[in-house]
Amino acid sequence: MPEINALCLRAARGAGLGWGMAEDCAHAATWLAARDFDWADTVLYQLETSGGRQFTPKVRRWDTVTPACALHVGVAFSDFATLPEGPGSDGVCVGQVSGPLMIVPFAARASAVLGTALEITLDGAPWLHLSGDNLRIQGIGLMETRIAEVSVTPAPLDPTPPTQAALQSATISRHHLSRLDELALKMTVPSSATSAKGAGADDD
Amino acid sequence: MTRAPLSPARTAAMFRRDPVQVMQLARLGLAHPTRLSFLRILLRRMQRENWRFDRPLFDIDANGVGRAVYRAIGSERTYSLVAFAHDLPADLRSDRVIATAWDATFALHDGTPDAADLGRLAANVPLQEAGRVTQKELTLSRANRSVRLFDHVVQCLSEGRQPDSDDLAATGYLMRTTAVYGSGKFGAATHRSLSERAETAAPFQAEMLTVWLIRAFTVDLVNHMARDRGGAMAVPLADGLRRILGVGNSTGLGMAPFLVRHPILLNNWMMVREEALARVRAQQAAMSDTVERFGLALMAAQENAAVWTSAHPLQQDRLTTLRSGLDQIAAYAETGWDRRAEYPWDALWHWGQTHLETEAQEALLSLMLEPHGHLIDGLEDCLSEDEAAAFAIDGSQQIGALKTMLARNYDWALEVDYTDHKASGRFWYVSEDKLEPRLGERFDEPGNDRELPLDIGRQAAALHETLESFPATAPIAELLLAHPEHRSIVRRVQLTAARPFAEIRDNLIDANMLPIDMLRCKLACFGASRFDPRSDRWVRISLFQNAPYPDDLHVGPDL
Repeated sequence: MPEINALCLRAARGAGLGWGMAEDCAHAATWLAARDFDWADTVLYQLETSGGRQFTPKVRRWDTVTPACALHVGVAFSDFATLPEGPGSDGVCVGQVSGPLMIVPFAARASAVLGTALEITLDGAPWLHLSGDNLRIQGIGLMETRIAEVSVTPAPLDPTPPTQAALQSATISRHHLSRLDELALKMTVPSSATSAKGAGADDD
Repeated sequence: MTRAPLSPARTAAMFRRDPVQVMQLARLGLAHPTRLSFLRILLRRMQRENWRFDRPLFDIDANGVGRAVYRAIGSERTYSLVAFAHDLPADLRSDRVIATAWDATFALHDGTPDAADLGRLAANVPLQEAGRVTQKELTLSRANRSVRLFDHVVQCLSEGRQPDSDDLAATGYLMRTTAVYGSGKFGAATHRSLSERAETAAPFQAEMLTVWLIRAFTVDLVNHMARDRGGAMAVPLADGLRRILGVGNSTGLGMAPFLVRHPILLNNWMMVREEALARVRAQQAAMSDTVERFGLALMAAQENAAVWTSAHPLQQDRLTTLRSGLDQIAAYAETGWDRRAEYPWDALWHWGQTHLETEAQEALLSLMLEPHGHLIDGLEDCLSEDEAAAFAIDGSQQIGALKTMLARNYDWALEVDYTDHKASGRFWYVSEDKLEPRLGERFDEPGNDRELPLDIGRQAAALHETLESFPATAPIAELLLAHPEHRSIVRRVQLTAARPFAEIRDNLIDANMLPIDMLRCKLACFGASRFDPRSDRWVRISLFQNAPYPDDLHVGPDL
């Protein structure tokens, strides 16, 4: 998990996100990996696909012009969780979202803060039931949905044990790894002679 | 960790130092190891729980090439250091992280390795970063010989004579590690996955065990090679001499960002130390046995300072100050300190604040903790914390509350003019070649657009400026929606509210900032001694110098 976090942090930063957003992206990636979701594909989709960032949280229904980036929507959903723009008692529709799986870690966080379970639907179809970090998939066929209208509604708490990868050995394909590495390299700087000076030595 | 639940000494809160004083980089850079340092925690536990140690495999040839296994057998679990010794040509020996070959490579294995484990590790551990370990391993490490001392010791022993103790003390180690990777690196088990185990719950315990067993390996290796070279004439290194030896370590900038990127851990490490000091100062009386042990610790510190050398002018000055300060403490403890007055330890502390330089003040802190294990050792349980638990931003907090926290914990940052070239003269970045942290000159080198977020002070000041345009009652969620660039610093400001020691209260991009101060702060938490800077950004230290070995851990006094 630390390696996933570090790689996604660098990749997100390399893709142009600010450090704070990159931290949230990395945190979400480890949350997904710990539950055996396809974290690498989810992260790459957010970083390589330019989802819209023009949305405005409103009570009951957020204003969204184009399908919005799920990472940004997820972060905002978490930030507004306890405010009137959050799911409240009647729920909220956050509009069309690009790559909705990325919203889930943030919805889980909101669920924990609110102390209530949350039902998530995609285009009106039941998808996930979250009780904090506990998760139950209700719409397995929706897992690879790329764009959908996402609604979140409070629900009774669920005692289902957390879905957790047993060995934390979340796998990644070589293809995904090289794409994340490629993004990560964009936040690095070639070492200069000045910076190398005094940085270490080989004496006895 | 917060302050309230820690102290059994109810009055300790009145004796705590102000974080404003404690967290200045110049003071952090003068930190000394204490009995709450991580290697001391490890040694105490192994001694207290009567751990056993053996060496089920030692298959090494005359050139020092082969493999060995050292086992540490605890009450519930066994950990094994798997060591691979190599024949490294001199021209390949490098302490830099860019090296690709070493004199010895190591992994700490969870349990006793079987033949398949050893085969797997033999194929991967010598490759270090280019190899892969599994969750059955806790650490991955490598070390290079101090060629001069290593060969000299082997030669002496092979001829039946002991090396000179001054030579041993001058270098201080037979091998120096150039990296000890743990917590999930290169496939190893994460610290989090081991946190339920009492013996690995405190920070860096697997890494400390690795280094301690490496130390035993280095001595066994010179004894073995001397025997091979000298036959019946050879003698083993005398116990009194081997004790002088620790394991060297070269540490560069790679370690520095840790303290900034892990504010919760920094807070806990500092908070524990400060709480320990407060508890000692809060003692109404000084028991004669604690005073006696304080005196013994002081003598040991004086001896250590006498043989502690450095070629770096800055450290030479600090050593002069330290030696003189320790002499002052000794003189005052002998003739001026009224140990029968009320709150005698607090009186000693106040005397130190008035009469000692900062270097010696921090040494006095370590000395005062030394005889008070019964009062403070339990604090080791407060060093670790699940950092993820405090990750979420509270978006409902009002801007006004955030401003109050900024003013309280970041006032040091708000006064700086970051348009001044000196104040923002440097930038931290990750190097393209080895993905290691580096420090660049902002106005002379390219790359500051890819700067690492270690410019905490500047970020805090920028946030403060932005907050001026928001009403005090607006929620932070609105601020972050409009200004996501402040997300990272808002998270820090919020978590600092209950963690006053979470930030180094200095500008870490100032042209005059000394990275070695960050290194010493962290290394002191580890328990490192003989801090010896080789530039302003890398340092040699020694670990476990004068500590017991596996075969005499249970013979010596309580640790």
